[in-house]
Amino acid sequence: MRCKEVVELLCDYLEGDLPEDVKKELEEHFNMCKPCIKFLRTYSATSKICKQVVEENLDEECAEELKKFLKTKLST
Amino acid sequence: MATKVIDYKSLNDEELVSLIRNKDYSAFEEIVDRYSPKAMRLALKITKNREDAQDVLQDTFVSVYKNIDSFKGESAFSSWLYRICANFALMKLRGRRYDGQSDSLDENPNMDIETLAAHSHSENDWSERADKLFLRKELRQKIDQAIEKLPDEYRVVFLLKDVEGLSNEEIGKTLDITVPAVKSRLHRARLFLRKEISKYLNE
Repeated sequence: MRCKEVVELLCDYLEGDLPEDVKKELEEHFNMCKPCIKFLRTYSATSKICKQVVEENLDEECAEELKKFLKTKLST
Repeated sequence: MATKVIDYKSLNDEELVSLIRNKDYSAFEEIVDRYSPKAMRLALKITKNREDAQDVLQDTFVSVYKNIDSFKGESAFSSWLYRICANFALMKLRGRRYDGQSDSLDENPNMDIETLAAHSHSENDWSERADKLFLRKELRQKIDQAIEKLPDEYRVVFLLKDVEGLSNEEIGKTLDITVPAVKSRLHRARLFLRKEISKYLNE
């Protein structure tokens, strides 16, 4: 398996969607190829760190304004 | 006889939904309290425009209230709400004219799979430092900018999956695309973001 193919399979690999034989081949490649291991680790850390960044900016201030709008619009 | 006081904050989403079905407006307000900050964040990240995001938020909650009977409980309530929110946000995007942004994913040079997949021995493995790196304000700004740079089709999938935690099936249904298409967009979005973070950390 070539490095390029490994990258293509990362999403399926992390979701556990790969057939057993392909998964085995991929893991054998990881054992031999340091750059691909680094790629796997940073690829998987990307989701985690980006989620943290997006979640940091919670916007609470608009909630009260929204509630006033909804009350006018929906209360009978 | 004393009136029974309901502590709405202590109820779970399903209990609140049952009350909303019986037109309990306070239960709905609790749902608004619980989800408006997250829905606002999603709307803002998709539309990249505060005014549009506020419209999206209003449309989302009006729709939730009016269509509560169509929530069948097949997925988590939060997923149902985020799907509604993402749909309104996408409608806003489609209604807007985009300056030169290509609709075709393969034509976007930033998302070229060969470039995104390239890696070498010299690249840093920053994964173990991820938690510490998060504390760096400049990096957080870089990541925010990178997410904004993602073409709309990728950004929406990335936000719904990696931030809001929807399943591939739910995202496919929301965007009217197949599960393999969801995965392909998600993969490229992650590759793009990974490359932007690595570029910054290897500078």
